[in-house]
Amino acid sequence: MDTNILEVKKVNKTYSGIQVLHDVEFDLKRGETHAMVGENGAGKSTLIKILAGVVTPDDGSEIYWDGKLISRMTPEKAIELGLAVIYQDISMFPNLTIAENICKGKHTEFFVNFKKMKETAQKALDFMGVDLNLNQKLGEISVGKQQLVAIARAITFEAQVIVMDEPTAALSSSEVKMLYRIIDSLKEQGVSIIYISHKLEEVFTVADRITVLRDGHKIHTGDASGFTNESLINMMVGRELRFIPMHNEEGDSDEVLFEVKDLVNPPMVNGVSFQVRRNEVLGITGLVGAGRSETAQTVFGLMKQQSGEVYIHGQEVHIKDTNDAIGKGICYLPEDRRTQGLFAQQNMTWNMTAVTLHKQLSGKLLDSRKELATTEKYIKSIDIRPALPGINARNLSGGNAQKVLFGRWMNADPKVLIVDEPTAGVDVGAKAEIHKILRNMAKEGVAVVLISSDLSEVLAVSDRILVMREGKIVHEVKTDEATQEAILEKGLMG
Amino acid sequence: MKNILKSKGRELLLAAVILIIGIIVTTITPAFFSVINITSILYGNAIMGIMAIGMMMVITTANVDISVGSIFAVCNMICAAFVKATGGTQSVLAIIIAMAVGCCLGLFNGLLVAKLNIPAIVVTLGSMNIMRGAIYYLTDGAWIDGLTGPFVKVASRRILGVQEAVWIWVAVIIITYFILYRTRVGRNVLAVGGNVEAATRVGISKTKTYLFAFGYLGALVGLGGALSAAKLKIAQPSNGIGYEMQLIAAAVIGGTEFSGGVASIAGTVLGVLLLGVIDNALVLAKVPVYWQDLATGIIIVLAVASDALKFIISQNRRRAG
Repeated sequence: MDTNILEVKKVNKTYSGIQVLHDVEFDLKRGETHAMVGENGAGKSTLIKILAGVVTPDDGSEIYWDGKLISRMTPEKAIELGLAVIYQDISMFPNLTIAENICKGKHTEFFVNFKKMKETAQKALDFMGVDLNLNQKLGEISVGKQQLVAIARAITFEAQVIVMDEPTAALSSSEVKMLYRIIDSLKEQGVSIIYISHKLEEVFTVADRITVLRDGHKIHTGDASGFTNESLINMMVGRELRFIPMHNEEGDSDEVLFEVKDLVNPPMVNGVSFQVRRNEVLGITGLVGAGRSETAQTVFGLMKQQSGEVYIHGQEVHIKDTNDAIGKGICYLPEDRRTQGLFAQQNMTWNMTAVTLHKQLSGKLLDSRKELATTEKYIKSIDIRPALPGINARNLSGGNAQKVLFGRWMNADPKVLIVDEPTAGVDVGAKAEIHKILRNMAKEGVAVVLISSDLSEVLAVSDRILVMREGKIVHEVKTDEATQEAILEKGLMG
Repeated sequence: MKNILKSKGRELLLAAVILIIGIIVTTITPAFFSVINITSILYGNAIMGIMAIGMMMVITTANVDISVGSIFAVCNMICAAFVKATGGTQSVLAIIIAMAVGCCLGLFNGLLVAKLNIPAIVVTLGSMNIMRGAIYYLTDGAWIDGLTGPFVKVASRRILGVQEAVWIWVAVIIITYFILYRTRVGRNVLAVGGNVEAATRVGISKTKTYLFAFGYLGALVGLGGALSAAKLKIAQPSNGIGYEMQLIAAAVIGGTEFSGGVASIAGTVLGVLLLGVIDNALVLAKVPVYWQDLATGIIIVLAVASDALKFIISQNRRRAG
């Protein structure tokens, strides 16, 4: 009984030159609940995707199932072996009934046998002790209940290993209790569970063992009873600062450049207020789903606000849409540069001047010489490589693509610049350069708001830090008085 | 030189194919490469060429308009009715009316696509039938023929030995080039088509951009309808059926990407000419008319498949690298 159902060794993964997993080892005993914890970007999701066969690891990585080496894991292979992943954004069929969702792919006869299907589905629900109407469409029930259906599906397929990625994110507290009970009965059946969660109290409730990941390294694996709240947080954030601190050298100012008052845009933004003063970089951190990006997007006019006030240099502004926001000096560097920022089919110059075409005119027509001059100016001032204005945007590395987007917004003469995860998927050197850009812009009188999940980045670059949780600001601290542990505790536990 | 080959590869290939077909046909019928036949090919394809430029604009926004045949018929009939009533004396006004009507119909399509978020193919499938039905109802299916006056010379009058319709096509090509590459609205068309998420985030209005593209197409189809009335001196409510396929084919063969964001004006012109030359060659070679559709179909499949192939190869290269 003491064999490992699943074990991985020397798992490495590199995405376009950036290594996100370094020699990670992980093992899972039969019938245990093994929690995996770490900050955003620690590599949890990538590891799970590798286990599920969705992502191929680098050569030399080893995956063992029941002691046997699996040479090449594919999604089909993983299902065949008995590994079921319940993703955060559940990948099921809202247009089909609950019974059909539970049994999809289970019965392979040519004609669908509805009776048999319902029996199978009911059996799984009975085992879980959950009461649901099998004929209801999946899309008509709450996201929490859908999560339970996903678990029922895993049971139907007799999964040996069930991976739960943030399973309680959408559950009510009674449903969470139900989940704990289901996990217990699954364990009795010898099913192993990999449990991923940000909520530490949950982790301590369900887990037999805990593995901590940080920056793609496995930090520690041990019995849950051997951890305390503090020791777990310490391992998650690490001790050393990874960035050179760059704080405001001009001294504190009382002049408020940008202010948001009681911004409401449910369900993600529930009364957010903050100020940005001269010379200051304001950091906003918190978990994914805490409402940080939604706050930024509401200010920027991408989402309609329900209520709230926005002031620039003391003047109240009303933002109709993004074009209006840009005109009034609010600029937003989006979270996902590939899907929300870059025009991949166009070249660097085209991307750089996309918001400032009014500056590139000769008479009524666009002047390619002016565009080229603008691009060359930023290639020089923020060191974009390769220094080819005509290079296609899709051929730029992450860091340089991000610098092009910075150039785009710098040229728009922003009064307020909100940057959302500006260094995600960027190598360390470019991260430091992006930090320098932010600092310089703050010095030049721009109100800079840095949204980031990377705590050491927030601590290194910003002067004041806000922690968001469930659409509200739950903690505010000056950086020199802040510690990673305290911030993390506020963000995770409230 | 290498750069030109790389960036204009599609256009050069099309030109080469047109030339090769020309040479083959010349061995059968020496008439093909005569000045008269070349101008007649240009003249014969000018109206399609003008409308294909408009279709390219809509496809570049990652949309499509399959109601063009019906817009064409409506504009064609209204223009002919006006010419009939005025005795063909108001040539310019007749063309402007046709373009304005076409533009309004295009704007209507664009508004539905942008505001209701319905796929363009569904919206225009509906409007195609509405417009066709309306024009049959209003005209009772009757033709308008016997058009006279200065208007009927508009398309066929020669300047420097070339028909005016061809010159209008050239003008449309030049104007479109300036719009697409030298104005902000043209940039918006490419931006919205390439990445609508990113476009919204740089302050570009999707609605306005769609309206422009559909309106532009409508106006050019209206222009085509007017020129057709002038050229043929007759208009009938069944005109333009099947045009959508030819126009889409010309743009796609020319390298305009159906997924949006990439336009090729030269490619669209060559696409129209390729389809025209093949038709012309098959006629000269006395091949039955049914083969023309087959040939058009094969070329579309080849053009699209070569794109897909290029994409797959580049993906594999990226994965390996």
